[in-house]
Amino acid sequence: MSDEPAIKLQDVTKNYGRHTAVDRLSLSVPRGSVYGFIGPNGSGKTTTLRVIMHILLPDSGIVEVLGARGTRAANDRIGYLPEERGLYKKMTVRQQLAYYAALKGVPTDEADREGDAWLDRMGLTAWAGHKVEALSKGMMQKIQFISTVVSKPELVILDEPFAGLDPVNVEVMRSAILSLRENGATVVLSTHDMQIASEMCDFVLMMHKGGKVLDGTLDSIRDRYGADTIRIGVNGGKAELLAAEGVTLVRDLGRLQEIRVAGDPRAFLHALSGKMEVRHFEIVTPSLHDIFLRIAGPDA
Amino acid sequence: MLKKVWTIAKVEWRSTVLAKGFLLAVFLTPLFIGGSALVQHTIKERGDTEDRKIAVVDADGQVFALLAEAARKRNTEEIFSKNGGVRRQTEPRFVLERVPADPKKDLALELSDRVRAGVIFAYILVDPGAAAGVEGKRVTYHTQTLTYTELPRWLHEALTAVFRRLRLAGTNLDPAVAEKLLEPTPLKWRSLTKIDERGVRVEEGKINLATTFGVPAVAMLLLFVIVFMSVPMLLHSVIEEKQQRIWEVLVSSVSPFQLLLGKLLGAVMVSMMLSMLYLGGTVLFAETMGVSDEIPGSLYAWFLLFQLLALLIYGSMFSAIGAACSELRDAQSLMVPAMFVIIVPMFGWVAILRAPSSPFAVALSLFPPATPMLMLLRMALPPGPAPWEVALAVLLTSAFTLACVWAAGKIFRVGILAQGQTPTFRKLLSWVLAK
Repeated sequence: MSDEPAIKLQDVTKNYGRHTAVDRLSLSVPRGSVYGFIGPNGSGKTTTLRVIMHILLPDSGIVEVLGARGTRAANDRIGYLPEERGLYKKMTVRQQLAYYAALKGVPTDEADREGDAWLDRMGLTAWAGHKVEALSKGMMQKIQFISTVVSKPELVILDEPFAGLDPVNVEVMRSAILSLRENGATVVLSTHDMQIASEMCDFVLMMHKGGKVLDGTLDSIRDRYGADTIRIGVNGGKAELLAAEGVTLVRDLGRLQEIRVAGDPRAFLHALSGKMEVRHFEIVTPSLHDIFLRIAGPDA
Repeated sequence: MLKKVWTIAKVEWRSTVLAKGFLLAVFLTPLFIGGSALVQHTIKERGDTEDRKIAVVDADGQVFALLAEAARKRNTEEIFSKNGGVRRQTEPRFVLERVPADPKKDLALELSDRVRAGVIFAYILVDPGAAAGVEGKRVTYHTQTLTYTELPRWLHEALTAVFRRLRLAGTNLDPAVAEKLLEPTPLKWRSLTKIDERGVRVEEGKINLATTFGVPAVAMLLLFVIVFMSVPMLLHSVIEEKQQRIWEVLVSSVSPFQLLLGKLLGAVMVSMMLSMLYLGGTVLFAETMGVSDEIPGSLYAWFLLFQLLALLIYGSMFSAIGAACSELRDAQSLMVPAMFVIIVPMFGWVAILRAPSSPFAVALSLFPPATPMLMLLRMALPPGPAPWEVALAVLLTSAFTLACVWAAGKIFRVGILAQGQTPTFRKLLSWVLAK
């Protein structure tokens, strides 16, 4: 496998009129990884993915995908699931898959073979000859996913792949995505669900207001933000904790309080236990959600 | 690139020709056109045979008898067709009623009331001295059915003959000699004499005026029907894909321009299929009617070329409008100016039929959006346009076609991902001119 990144963006900016949707974004997606774009709605994730697909052209910056710089040359090797799903309702499932594969240059017999394997895996074999309009919404979501991967792409870009799925289908989709990585594909997915991102992604890029606020492996991110958050149970209230030396933030969780301290947590415990009774003390690893809130602030 | 364009075209073609609405239109259109022609023919053959009663007030008493004689001759000899050896009345009889002139009565009012009551169809007042040509004396025709022109036309001809006869009777001329002198000169229409390609002199021949006018008109209308059975499908297909959010998937695999070309090619395939059906039917019909020799073979080739150009021009326009709009109803406002361009040929075709080489005809047939229909019309009409006019028309229209496809491609690129308010023409122009 090449050491070249699957995707490389350098100072990419995309404006819609006066609004900057993506602001001087740089990133590098390693091959064979699952790379998560996270961030709230309107943070610029979808625009970035469209720029990567050359559906939108950047106003400035360099876009390099699977070794092709600034062109659509690699698009046949990319599977793209847009946020807004679209299927031809009058086509049968098999015709649909064959058509989308043909647009990627895959012959019909090959597409049928690959499509049948995916339909079997997703429990949709019996629906292969049915028109799309006869399918439930969940089934359509799965067909849309299969049409994205039926051409066996090297790079799979999924914009909010879990949106609208029930918990059972979320698991089916999660398993399918991870199997793509096992087969050597690079997967880029965008989601606003940070729990899913933290469970699936090898690398995470956090966006806010069009810019990158954080990126790296999950461990490296947690290392950066992981040692200053404590869950504590004391005989005292929020006001007493805020008054304690080194406390920068107190969040009331009910029975416990979550606090952030400057300095060594153990030294803080030692100092605090002399002033009040401590029933519970736990140094917690912050979730991506917590880290995001900390970086982006309450307006995120 | 071409393989993907072909893939899109095949899907477009299949989705169009398998749609029930399209299949119905394919078979119902010729049935409708043929049916309406049949209805008109039937009406002409059988429809209007009701007697027309005409009251004649003949002040001098000289005119009525001769006019009644002319009506009797018409009613017994001239209002029948002999199709298939069967004599059948196809036109109404004109039945004349003599009304004595009576200065004590208000005849005009009395006869007008009878017309209004439906007792008589019309009446004529022949002034005393009108037959003799006394200055200021006249014949007047009165009816409430002004659109029926056959009767006044016949009356005009018949009265002219009657008056001529009465005036000649006052001279010393032998009536037979006078009749011979005044006999109308026959004028027969014949084709030009020519030397054919083998160098053989071809003498004048008969002219079939029905095919002379019919072939060009049918060719143009057929082209119009075929193009506008194919092109609106593009608008619907583009808007449907936009509504169903299919665009983003498609443009992740093909460029917007490839997508446009695929759709246009699909529409071309649909229209060529229609051509095969309808032109085939036309050839069969012409063979059956024995007029196939009067349709030059080259006309079919020109038909297909102009069909291709028309389809690409109008197809580009409709596709671009579809790409710029999110809903079919939004497209209506943009369709108005497009439709204006499309119906330009309809404004001029009758005038061109009458004077195919006039400056108006030449100019309008060189206006690219109208060229496919109108140049085809002129080419089917004798004597046909000059070769330089055809060459210039093809050149201008080809260039215009390329410009339309290019501009539609530019609008496609931006329009297919745009949502919300329908863009103005100024906005569309900015999309076209954007780098």
